[in-house]
Amino acid sequence: MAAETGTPTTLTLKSNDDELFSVAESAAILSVTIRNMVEDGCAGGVIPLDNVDGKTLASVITYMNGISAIPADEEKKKSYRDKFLSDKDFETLADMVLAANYLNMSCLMDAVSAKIAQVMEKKSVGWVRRKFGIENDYTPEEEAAVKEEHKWTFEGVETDDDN
Amino acid sequence: MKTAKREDGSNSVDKISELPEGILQGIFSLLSQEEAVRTSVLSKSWRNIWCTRPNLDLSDVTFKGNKQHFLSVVNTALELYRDQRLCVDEFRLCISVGHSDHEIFYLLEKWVRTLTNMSVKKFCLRNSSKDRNGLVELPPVVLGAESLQHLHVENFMLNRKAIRRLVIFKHLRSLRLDGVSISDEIFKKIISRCPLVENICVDECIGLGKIELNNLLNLKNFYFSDMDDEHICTIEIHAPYSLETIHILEGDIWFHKGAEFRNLNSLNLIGVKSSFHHLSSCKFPVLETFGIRDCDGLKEIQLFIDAPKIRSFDYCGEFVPSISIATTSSKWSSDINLWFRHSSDASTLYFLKLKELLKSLSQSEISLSFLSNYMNTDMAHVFPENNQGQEIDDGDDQFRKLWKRDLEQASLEIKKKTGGEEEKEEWRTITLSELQNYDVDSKKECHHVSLSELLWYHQEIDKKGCHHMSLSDDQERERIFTRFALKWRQDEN
Repeated sequence: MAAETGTPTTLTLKSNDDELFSVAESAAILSVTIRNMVEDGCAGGVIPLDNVDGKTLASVITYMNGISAIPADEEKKKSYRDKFLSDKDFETLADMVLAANYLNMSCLMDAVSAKIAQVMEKKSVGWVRRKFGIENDYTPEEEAAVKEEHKWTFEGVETDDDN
Repeated sequence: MKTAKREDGSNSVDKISELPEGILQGIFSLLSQEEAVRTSVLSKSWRNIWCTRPNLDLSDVTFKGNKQHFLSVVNTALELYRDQRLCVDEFRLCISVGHSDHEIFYLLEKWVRTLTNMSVKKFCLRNSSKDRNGLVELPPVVLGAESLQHLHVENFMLNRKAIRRLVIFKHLRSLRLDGVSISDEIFKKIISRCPLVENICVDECIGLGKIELNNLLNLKNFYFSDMDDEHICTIEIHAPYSLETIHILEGDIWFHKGAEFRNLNSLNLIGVKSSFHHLSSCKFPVLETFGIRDCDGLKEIQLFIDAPKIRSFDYCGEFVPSISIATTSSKWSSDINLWFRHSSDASTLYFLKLKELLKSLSQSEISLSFLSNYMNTDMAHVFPENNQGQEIDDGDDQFRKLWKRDLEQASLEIKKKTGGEEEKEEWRTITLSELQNYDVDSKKECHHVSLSELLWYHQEIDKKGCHHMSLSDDQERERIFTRFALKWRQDEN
């Protein structure tokens, strides 16, 4: 529960690979899932987060701390989010969007979704496959047929070099 | 789970295809239609993921391919959604339909029916045809789509036939009619079936003579614009309590005597033809933004606005109006833009009226601009005592004489804009040394600048700033704007 003294309360979060993290309650309650636990009084001990691994949780906590340190200024928050996501590879982004979904953090979720959409924009099919680790299980004939069906969507796109 | 070799050679899991549908929907709704559909080529599991996108947005204007192909793309997309029992929340379609396009009419009917079955919420139908044989009828099914929350129709004819299946739109919050041909009667009928509508936008429609807004208890935003000079549409608003924004461009609006606009936050009247006699008796308890531009009805009257919460007032026109605003607001601004058509505009009476106006607005932070489009308008005539900015004796400054008692300080402010980028440079006071940079003709040392000199600079910089004000090479495309900041003496009485 909220501290009556002036000292900030810290929560302990546990990832699904048993890593423990402490984080200030004020930052952690950006997650509606965690906030509900705090409000219900079940945040006393360790909070297990069964759907988030340690690497992702560390990243999410960095974000929580960073964004909650910024006062109510949407522009500054946005630029922090942009910077925070700028060096993340696709796999991390996918993990983060899942974590944000599980933790019910709409601001992170929207930002990561926008980032993924932005990464995909104007990219060739081959590029997206490589980047996202997608195996092409079409036969060449099938692929050609799908391409033909949607050929109007292939204008002005980077051409594939290797597929 | 599917794995594939990644760029760095490691095996990784195809995470994105594994994302829950809700998340994928979010991502796909941020992609354009093309981007979304294109992902179907990635792999088998991706083939129809794009259909999780709740919005379809197709336009034959940007479509690369022929018309038949476009029709089949729209048709296939809708069938795919339908067959997988997926929903389209938002459907935007821009299509060229002429009078003889029977196939398209048939398809439109079919599509709208499919969408209605999916409980579509937002529907935007635009006709991109420039058919000079007049507008084509809106397929009647459109006004039968009960689930709609937003409806936007552009370039169609709404006649009796088009409203044959008109339902009561229990959920409709926004109605936008753009370039639509519609009579008063039909408009009235449609509006009467939208009991909960919050936003109405009537943009350059043809055939309207009078709009009455009645019994719309939720109406918040009303936008009207018309470019037809011959037929002026009159707008009458009864019980305007819920309205928050009114924007009228080239129409007539009748204000009822003593009407109380309880929630009106923003009022914009542009090119409104009617007289504003009753406006002075209306009450605007929460009005913050008030703009009035090129309204001839202001000419003969003294307008009084009761707006205790005003924050910004804008006026633009060819004549100096008589306007006062009663307010308790401690910080508000007035932006006055006056057009000079002829140098004879600048009579003593003109300046007396201007003085009156500025005085009545003196509780606000005033920005005053003189605008002139005419290259032959010579400011030297407008301010006859102005000798092209040279050798001006401040004491002879007629302008200053007029205002001497009230004006404490005048300064010229400058703002620069570079290239195509919208840079947000703030207005700042120009310095004397900077002023000399712009003074191409007279390179005199100046320590004090008179008001008329400032006016001259204002005019000169404006002229040059709009062309090529090359201070140095890298500032080639810089535009410079200037304005006056006037500080008034506080009334000591």
